[in-house]
Amino acid sequence: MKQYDKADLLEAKLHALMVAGMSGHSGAYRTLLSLSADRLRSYFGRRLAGRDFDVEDLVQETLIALHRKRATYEQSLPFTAWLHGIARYRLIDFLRRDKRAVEVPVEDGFDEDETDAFGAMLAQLDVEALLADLTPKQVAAIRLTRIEGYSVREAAAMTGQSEPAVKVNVHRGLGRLMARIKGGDDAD
Amino acid sequence: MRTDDLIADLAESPVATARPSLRIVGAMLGGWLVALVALLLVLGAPLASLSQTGMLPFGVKSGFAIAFLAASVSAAIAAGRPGKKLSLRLALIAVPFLALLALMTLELSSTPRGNWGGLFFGTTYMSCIAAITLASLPVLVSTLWAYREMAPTRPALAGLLAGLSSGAAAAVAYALYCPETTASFLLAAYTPAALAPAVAGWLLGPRLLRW
Repeated sequence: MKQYDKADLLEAKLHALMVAGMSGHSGAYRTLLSLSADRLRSYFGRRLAGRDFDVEDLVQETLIALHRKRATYEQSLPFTAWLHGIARYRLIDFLRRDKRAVEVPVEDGFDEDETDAFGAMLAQLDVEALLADLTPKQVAAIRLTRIEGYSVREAAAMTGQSEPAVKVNVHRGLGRLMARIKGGDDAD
Repeated sequence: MRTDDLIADLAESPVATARPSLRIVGAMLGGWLVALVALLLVLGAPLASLSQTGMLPFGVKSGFAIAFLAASVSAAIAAGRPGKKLSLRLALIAVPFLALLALMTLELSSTPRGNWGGLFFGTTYMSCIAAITLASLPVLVSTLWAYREMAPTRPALAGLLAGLSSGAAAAVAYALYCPETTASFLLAAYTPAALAPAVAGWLLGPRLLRW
């Protein structure tokens, strides 16, 4: 008699749940999603050690991707191979986006001195009055990333703007503020 | 949102209504019909050259194009399913070309060296390449559109295969018109013509097929 190892048993179980789920069994699909979430958590956790929030974000993103693309599953395919394919794609996509986020300070266009000088000036001025001059999107982007200390990603998620849009809004908004503080005139 | 809540939400609609592979085949058929109508308008009635060439060259041409189409569509659809093994399907695409290669060897060995140019370039080389490349465009558009339902983990490869399928579909349509008779010509003209939409798909895939 063939000895089945744990991975085979898990595959058999997940496969059965997926087949039942795709034929309309909501409970089976729910169990499948929970088990998949556990698998994904350990998959991403091993690769992003210590970044629990990112790991949970990725787990959720991958579950949504799995759900949206469930029609691409076919019964002859091992479920774990299919799930792994999706998880790997989401991880690569995340790392690519993450790399961009890390590069934000470089792309932002302000050099060290400028930023420090801006900080010193900012401390002496009425921030709220200055911000009132900008568009609401610029205000939100600057407030979240520069005053409250969120990352560009988090700010993008909170405001519903895309990450490039947050960067652009911060950049334009700060540029406008600098111009106003220095010259007193509007400059765009 | 907590993950458990998300799972509860998603679990409410387990059944997938989409049929992505059927949709791709349907979209390709639609694009192919557009290409066929365009060829009808530009080149007139199909199969007109059949009386000069005879059945055999037409059979070889159509057989090659249909086998090429089947292999590339099968690989393209597999590339849209995560976890699916591709190597065998990719290798199968080579089979119709290997068959042409064998026929080409026969043709070359029975033709004096001075006439080899005619074997490869026939009399309609450029118009054949132009016709297949242009006819592949509507197929490429509809295929890429339908392909967004799939989940390609390698979007560039998926785009390339979708493009190759479009080129093969265009070759099937143009085979109804092609007055050439040699396998050498098929290899020399149909191959680059089908590669053009493949390169386009390869470039477009990473932009259009991300998910």
